[in-house]
Amino acid sequence: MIEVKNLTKRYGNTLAVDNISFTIETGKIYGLLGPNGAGKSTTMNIITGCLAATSGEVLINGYSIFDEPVEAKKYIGYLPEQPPLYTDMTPAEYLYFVAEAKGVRADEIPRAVEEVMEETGITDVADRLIKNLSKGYRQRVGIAQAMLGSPEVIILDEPTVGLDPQQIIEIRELIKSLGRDRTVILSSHILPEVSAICDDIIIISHGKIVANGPMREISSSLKSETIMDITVKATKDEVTSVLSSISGITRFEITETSTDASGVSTTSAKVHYPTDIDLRETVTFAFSDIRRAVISMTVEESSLEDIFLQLTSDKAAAFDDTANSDNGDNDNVSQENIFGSNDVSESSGSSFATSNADDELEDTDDADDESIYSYNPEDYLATQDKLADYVDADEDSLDDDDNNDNNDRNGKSVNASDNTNDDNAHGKETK
Amino acid sequence: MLAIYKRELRSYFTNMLGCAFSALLLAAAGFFSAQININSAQSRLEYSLYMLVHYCILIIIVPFLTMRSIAEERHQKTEQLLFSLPLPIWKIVLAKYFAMLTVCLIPVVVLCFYPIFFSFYGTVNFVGAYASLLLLVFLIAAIIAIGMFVSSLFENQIIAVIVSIGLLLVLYFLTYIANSISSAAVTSLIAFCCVAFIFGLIVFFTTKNETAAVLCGGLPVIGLIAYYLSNKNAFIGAFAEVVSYLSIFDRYKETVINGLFDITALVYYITIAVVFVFVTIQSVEKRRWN
Repeated sequence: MIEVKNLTKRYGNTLAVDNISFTIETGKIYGLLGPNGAGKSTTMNIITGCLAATSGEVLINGYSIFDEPVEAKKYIGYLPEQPPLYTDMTPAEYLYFVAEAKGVRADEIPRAVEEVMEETGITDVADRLIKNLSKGYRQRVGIAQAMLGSPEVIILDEPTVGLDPQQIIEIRELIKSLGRDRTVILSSHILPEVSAICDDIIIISHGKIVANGPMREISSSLKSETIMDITVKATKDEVTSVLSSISGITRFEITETSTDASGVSTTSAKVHYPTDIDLRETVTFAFSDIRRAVISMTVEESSLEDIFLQLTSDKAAAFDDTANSDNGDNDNVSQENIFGSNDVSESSGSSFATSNADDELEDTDDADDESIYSYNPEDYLATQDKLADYVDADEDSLDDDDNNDNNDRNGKSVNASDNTNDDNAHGKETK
Repeated sequence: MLAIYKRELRSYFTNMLGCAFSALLLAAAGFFSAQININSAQSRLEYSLYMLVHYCILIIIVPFLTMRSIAEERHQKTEQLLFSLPLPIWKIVLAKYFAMLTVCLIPVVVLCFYPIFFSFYGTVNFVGAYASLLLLVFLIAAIIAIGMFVSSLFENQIIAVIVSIGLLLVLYFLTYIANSISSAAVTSLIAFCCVAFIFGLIVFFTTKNETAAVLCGGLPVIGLIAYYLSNKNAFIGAFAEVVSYLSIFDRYKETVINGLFDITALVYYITIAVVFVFVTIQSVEKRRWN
């Protein structure tokens, strides 16, 4: 079991890892996910004792990696991003050396080396020089090296980078088989890879954990939105009023509107709603009720990658805002929604604002995403403080805004774009 | 620790570096021995060993042995394997150090037979020859430690070898340089102050701590000036004296030429080896903090 507590790593003025805490339990495959430069490798290097931390603590089976490194390292096998191979040796020689250096008993070394070579499928190339091996085989030798000394935890840093698709599949299979009787932590910047292999994932962005939990939970919540593109023979106003009246729509935006020579208007819109409901019929009937024809309708689920990218790039901006917060309103919106339930349709009312469609989109997304992830206790407390401040400060204006709030939640348009965020927040509070 | 030692030793012979080193050292020693025996009719091994030092043969070939010791680990990223092994860093560095020392001992063992061969054809001063050989081993041990330290500073072994050779050449010619400056008391003071200043700079660049740098560079300067004001005479020719006392290579020459086995030289070489192995360990350790 590995406990990481308040780990921080600074390179000069750059904060590579920012006060992260998590626990790795025995017998699961963990995925450390994040874009390049998010702090994955740094975190792994610190856990394995290759790098010292600026502050914080890492406990491996109760041994601190900083205070009792020799004892702690016995429980860990590590494959760094670039396999640490001596290219002038053969895999057999190399593994023999690693086993010896890890303190495997002399009479057990040949058997141990034989075993890991079999498990990783490198027996055939055991006597070829490592420098003549392909990248896939080198990676296997690297994994075999990590497995020696039967460590409880195997840590693999981007194990499939630079491999061809066939090799990637093989390495994934290998990792899955490793996970049967050991704890495996692997890092990756490819979401589907992690979702294919791991039980639990930890998403890191800009040195902070933005999501942490079982794969199933996170992936189901990540897929939580359906986007419907519709084109209707109607004016912009008609489309707006019809869509606003449909409950269940998270938000929508008018993408295009045109009027031809005979005066018939055509309007296109993007409608977002939760995946667990199907609004295709409702929308069609709503337009047919006012005798307007839906001339095209396509439905797509937002892809995992899209949301992951949004989560790891926008999130940083949102976090930065929170950190040096003086623009309290925006903060309150995103923080506020942390307390929202998992039901996306409830946690953020439908809203419509053509003038600042982009801002709106970003904020709402953040809110949605944040509501579904677990947070550090500190973050949680900080949020509560903020919330309290917010309530105090804006108590008076609350009543005045009430009407707007309701409108907003019901999907009516809010004209004053500046207020949109505030209104959203107030809506929550009045509940 | 033994595993790393064995691996290092083996790598010196799989990549020919160890063989080339032994061959070069033996070729040079053989050439000098033949020269001295035939031309000067002297059956003295110690003179040919002295030639190895005097003609900078050691200074040039030992860094080729030490250049890759740590720089290559860093370059190949294998240092991450070493860091993640359940071994303290000092054991890893020591294993590497002893592996290099072992490689150096191979030609030395061959050289041990020279006096015996010489004795077939003339009278040989066995004590002088073996004492010189022993001191040579410790001199090499000191040079290896310096080379390993330089290697730990760089990722590129070519830069490591150039810097090592440069540093050793400066050490070699240090007495010459020190003797060429005036022996006036003020000159000595300035020279000492320069050394203190350079030391302060080194501290600053390695620790990035201004206070420590000012203390390390500034306090000695104040002390020197205070001492200078109280006793000017002590400074006359003092710099050259201190430098020649600290010179690594001059001590070897003295032992061999004067035929006096200098125990302090032996202790001095061991001290240098220990100090540089220690700073190498710190330098490798520091990598983890960057």
